[in-house]
Amino acid sequence: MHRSTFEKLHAEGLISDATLQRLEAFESNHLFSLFWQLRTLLYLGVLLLTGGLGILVYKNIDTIGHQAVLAFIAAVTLGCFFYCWRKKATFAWEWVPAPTPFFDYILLLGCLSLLIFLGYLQYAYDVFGDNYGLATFIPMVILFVTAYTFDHIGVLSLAITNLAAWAGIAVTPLTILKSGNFSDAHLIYTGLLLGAVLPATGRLAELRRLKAHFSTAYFNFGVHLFFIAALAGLFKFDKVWFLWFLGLAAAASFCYILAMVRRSFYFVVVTILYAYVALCDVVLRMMDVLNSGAFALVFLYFIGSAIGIILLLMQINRKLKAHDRL
Amino acid sequence: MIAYNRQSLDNLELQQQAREAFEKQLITQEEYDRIRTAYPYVFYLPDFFIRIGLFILTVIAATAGLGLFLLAGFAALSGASLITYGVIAFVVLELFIHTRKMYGSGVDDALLYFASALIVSGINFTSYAYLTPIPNCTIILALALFGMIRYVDQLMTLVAYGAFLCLIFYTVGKGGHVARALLPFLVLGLSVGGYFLFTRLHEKAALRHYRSCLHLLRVATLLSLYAAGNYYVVRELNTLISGGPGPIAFGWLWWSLTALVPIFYIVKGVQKKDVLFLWTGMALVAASIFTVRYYYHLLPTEIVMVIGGIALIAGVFGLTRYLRTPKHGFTTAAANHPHPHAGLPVEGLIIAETFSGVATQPTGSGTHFGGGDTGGGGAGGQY
Repeated sequence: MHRSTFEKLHAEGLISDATLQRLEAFESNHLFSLFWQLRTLLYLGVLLLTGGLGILVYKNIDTIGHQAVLAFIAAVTLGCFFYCWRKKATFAWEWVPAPTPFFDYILLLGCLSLLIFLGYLQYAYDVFGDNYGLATFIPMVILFVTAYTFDHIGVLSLAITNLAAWAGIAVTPLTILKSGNFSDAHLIYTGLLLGAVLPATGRLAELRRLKAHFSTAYFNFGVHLFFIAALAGLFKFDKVWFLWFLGLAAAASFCYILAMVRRSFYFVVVTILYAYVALCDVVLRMMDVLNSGAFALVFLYFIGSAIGIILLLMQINRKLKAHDRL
Repeated sequence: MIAYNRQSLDNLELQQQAREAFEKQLITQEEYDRIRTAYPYVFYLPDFFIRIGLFILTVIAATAGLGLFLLAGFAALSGASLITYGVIAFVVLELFIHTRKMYGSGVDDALLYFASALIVSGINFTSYAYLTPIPNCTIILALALFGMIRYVDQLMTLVAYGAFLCLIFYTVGKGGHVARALLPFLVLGLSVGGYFLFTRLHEKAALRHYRSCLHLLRVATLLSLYAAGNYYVVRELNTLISGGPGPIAFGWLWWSLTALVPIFYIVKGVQKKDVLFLWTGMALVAASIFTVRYYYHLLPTEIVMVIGGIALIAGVFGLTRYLRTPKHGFTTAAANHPHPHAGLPVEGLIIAETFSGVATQPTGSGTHFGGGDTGGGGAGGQY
């Protein structure tokens, strides 16, 4: 912000005397904020510490030192959770701001070291036995409970990732008995299911005002998971690809309308790009390039379609911006 | 010189300042609206995500266009046809800028990079013999300078500076023994000179449209100053041009520069309250640690990580306590304007992205289950 700019605006009568004084006061009392620098360093610290502990555990698995390492990780976990429990504000279903600048990072550190601890227990002592679903299910539940208790979107994202891993694993043991091809199909269906359930959860959270600000995380994971699973289905099921395409187109239209209503540039672009990939797959299938040799047609299609989508995106931008106050 | 409407560039800059002031609640809504109507701009400036979408689609369309162009038999895949197509892309870019008023819209950046890359590869195709680094650097430098001066492009600015350094490196590298030994000092001198030059140009009102580029060039000079004194860089590049691996002369000098330059930047950043020095210094501390570890394995990596992590967390903890009430003009509180992507789960995404290994690895560590678990990991790894 330049003082001269605002002096000029003041001279032109665009801003009032009071505003100019406010601007000048702000400039002279301006404090230099280290907020993002410190956050980055904290984040790096957590990353290094948990990464180092993870490697340390695996390297010392059969040595005498592993008990000490385990005790250290347990101490870190307990310390972090103790700190967060002491500092935490009273639970509410609305957004609760972090009580201290460290809170989010200490909680993250606690969760990650807990994951390392549980993973190590499973490896060394087989606490969950052969019940592999349980070995991912328990950390997942802990992560979800932690995310909601302490209001932490990062931990929620970890929990959702773990949920996907759990769903993946819960499906796979069945498929060991079956042919290799089925395992993919099962994962595709699981992906579709999760991709539908996660956004629905997000919507429910908004409607019931249960941590409504978590909804974006649910939408984000859900939408990507759904479209990737649907695209995998489209590529994989050669005989019924048209059905997959119809389903995908329907889902994309639904998603597009919702994103437009919510004025989310991000989800509009993501939806359009996924739908475009599906469209290209179908067009290339129908042109059957390798056999027909219609390369010129393919190039023409790509030019035409890309320009078409560019025009579409530009129109959407105009539409959404028109209502933008800022 | 600049392809874009200069009046609009000025007004856009003013509107951005006004918006910043508005977000800090320093000016009222009416005042902000009045400023916006008094200083309008003509540019087509789409939203950030739309811009990414437009960029991807423009690259697709331009690539398909190239395919059609080559297929249509204007020319076989030759240097001349690539250059021709590159020139066409530049013409299209100019048309878009003048008729559609595009400015940083995704389409114009994509066309600029696409056209420049095509011309460079076209020239390399034409010269049947392998084009040596010096003419190549010169071509890239010229094109990137053009991109910087005419389109005020930040990536082109960085490419230009990089090409300039490469040009110096290869030109001097061809010289005698003495020239090669003096190379690091030359780059040190050029970086320091460049820093002061760009800082002065940054203040020039006539060059106000290039402020973002000059700002970037200042960071680039700080980085090249560090690189010219970094032990690893000096040693490896010395091996590259003189062919003789092994320890280098003035080892103590390079080691002290490696250690001191980042600290100097951080101290300068704190003294001058300069974000640029502070961030660069922070990043270079990491670079120096990697340099030391590359030559001296004092401790195993994981121990260094644990100790470093604890030190960082404790350090930030101490600093925050110290600055609980702002001191010396520093605060740890956020500047009271929202983060550009506050509405999106960016931080959560980064966490899930970087820690998903930690999150899923332990659970899949049952060795007898390794194969099956990767399927689950695959589901998680899609983000």
